[in-house]
Amino acid sequence: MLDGLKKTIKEMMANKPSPEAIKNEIAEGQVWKSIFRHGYPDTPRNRIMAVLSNVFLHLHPVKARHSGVKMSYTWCMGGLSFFLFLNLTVTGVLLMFYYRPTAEYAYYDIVALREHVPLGIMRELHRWAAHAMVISVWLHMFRVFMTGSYKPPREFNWVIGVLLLVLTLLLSFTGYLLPWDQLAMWAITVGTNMARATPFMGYEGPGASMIQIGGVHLVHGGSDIHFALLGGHFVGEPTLLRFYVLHCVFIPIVAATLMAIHFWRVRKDGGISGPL
Amino acid sequence: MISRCGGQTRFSSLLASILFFSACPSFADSDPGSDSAALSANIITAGMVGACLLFLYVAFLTVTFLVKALKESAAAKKEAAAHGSHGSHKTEGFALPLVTWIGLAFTAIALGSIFIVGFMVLIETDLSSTSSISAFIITMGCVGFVPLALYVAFLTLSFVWKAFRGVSEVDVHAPTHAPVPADLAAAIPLNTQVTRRSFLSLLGWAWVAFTAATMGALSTMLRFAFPNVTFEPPLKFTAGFPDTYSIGVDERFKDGHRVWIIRDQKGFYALSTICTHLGCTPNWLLAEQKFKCPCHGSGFYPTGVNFEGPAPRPLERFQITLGDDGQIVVDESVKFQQELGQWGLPGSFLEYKA
Repeated sequence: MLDGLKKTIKEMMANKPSPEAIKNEIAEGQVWKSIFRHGYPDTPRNRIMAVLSNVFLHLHPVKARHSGVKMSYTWCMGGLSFFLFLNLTVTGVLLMFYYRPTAEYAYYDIVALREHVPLGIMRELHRWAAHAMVISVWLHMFRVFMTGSYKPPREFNWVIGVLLLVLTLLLSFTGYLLPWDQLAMWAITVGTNMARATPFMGYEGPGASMIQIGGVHLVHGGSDIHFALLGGHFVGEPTLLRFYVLHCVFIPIVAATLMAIHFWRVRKDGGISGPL
Repeated sequence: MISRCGGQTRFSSLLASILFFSACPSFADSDPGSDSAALSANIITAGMVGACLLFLYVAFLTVTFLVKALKESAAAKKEAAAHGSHGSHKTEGFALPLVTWIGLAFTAIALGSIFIVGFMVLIETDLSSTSSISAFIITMGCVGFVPLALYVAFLTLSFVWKAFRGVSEVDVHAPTHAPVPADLAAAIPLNTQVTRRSFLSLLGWAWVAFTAATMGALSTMLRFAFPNVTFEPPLKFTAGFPDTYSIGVDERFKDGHRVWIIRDQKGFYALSTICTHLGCTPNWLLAEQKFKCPCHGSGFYPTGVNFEGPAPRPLERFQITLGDDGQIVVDESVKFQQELGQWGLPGSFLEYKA
């Protein structure tokens, strides 16, 4: 058997296939063909095929205006926002391996990330990327506004963008509670107290006192939107768990879905807008 | 069709609202207390009755339809026998059993679920207990969804079958001026042509039923966000004997119950530690004899009256009384607000008697 192997290697060495031949062997092989349904993207047709036949690229425009991709025009803020989102997803998932969303452990797990965990800087990366994402999303919105890229036919994509801005801020807000320190507790206490003043749904909000049957109020401190948000009357362990689930599962899924629509609409609405 | 559908939509929205409100009872430990619990029990009962009515209504429709179908089938057979073998009703024997079986299966499930739910209510005898009620409501939502979904499937299937059969066997050019059927059984055409009107009517029914079922299921999900039991400290607690307090601000219940118990020359009052600005907990500064909120700098006198920073009104006081055993009892569910002139009311202050 060893002799057979030696013989095969000798034959291969004797044949000395050219790089071109190896390339052809691979590119014409069944494996390659089953994945890539187009030739090398050096012709307009193959370039279009390369974009259209790729699940990630097909959301993007096949062609972009030369002027439209200038850094001085786009600031690359949309791209940076998405890059930061990917960054946050990866570092966030890694943090989930160490973080336990309970009143007993949450704070000490954060301390452990700083003190003991190898490359616990992952948490700092997550934090700074989160700050950067909020800034870059705002700047992206500012750029889109200043270049008039919200105008027809891009009105709908502006609306999607506004929703994504809100989701970014909500991600930032829910993530704020997770370190479970004094800053987190009181920031969320102050922030969620606003929910008490929600019209009709918050028990201190306008119209809430109108919702009653037989003189008994249906919207009160134990049944309003503030209660549902916190899972209690004040920020406590149920709040931590709720915000954790919202932060790690619910909002990211909604945001990712809207992002797919957002990128796809850029393409459908004629690519990146041209300079005015 | 439109007016009929309007009636059905009203019915389903009424049903959905009954389900929704029945799924939103109050909480045992929440502010308004027993009034609210009694009210929610009434609402829940209304919801149960409404849901049972829905089941019965659907079952009634099914049985009506079945009776009609059987009758028409018998009439058709008789007619076929009288006219000899024309062969146009050959599929009759096949069609009816299919529809019949679906309908019977649905009725069995609907009645079975009523029975199961009824049995649940019977064994959970304490209907005012919130937890058994919510278990019931959620079960009702889940159980109710299954027969309704089956109902939609039944309607759709029976209609599709009728549509194909009708088109293949009946002269579609024949003029029809049939009046709008008075009920669902009449709306399902047997041995007659499927009209656009009856098609839309059936489709409307199917969608109405589906919408009602979906609303019911969604209301259970919404209800899921409101826990019946919170693991928060009880609002009413015993705060020790009056003699254990010296004159000044006592912070022993600050962490556990968010209350300062303050003793002055005359007696005691219980002050909320929740800042009236945005809900942080102020610090008691002994040297400066004031409460100072670290969040935005609001300041309060030991009486609770605000004098600096953004706080719009004084801290709230809670009911403070003397228990039968001579210990102080604080009840945070009863509060007294200075700006409403409530600080002089009985219960807001406990006189010290040595």
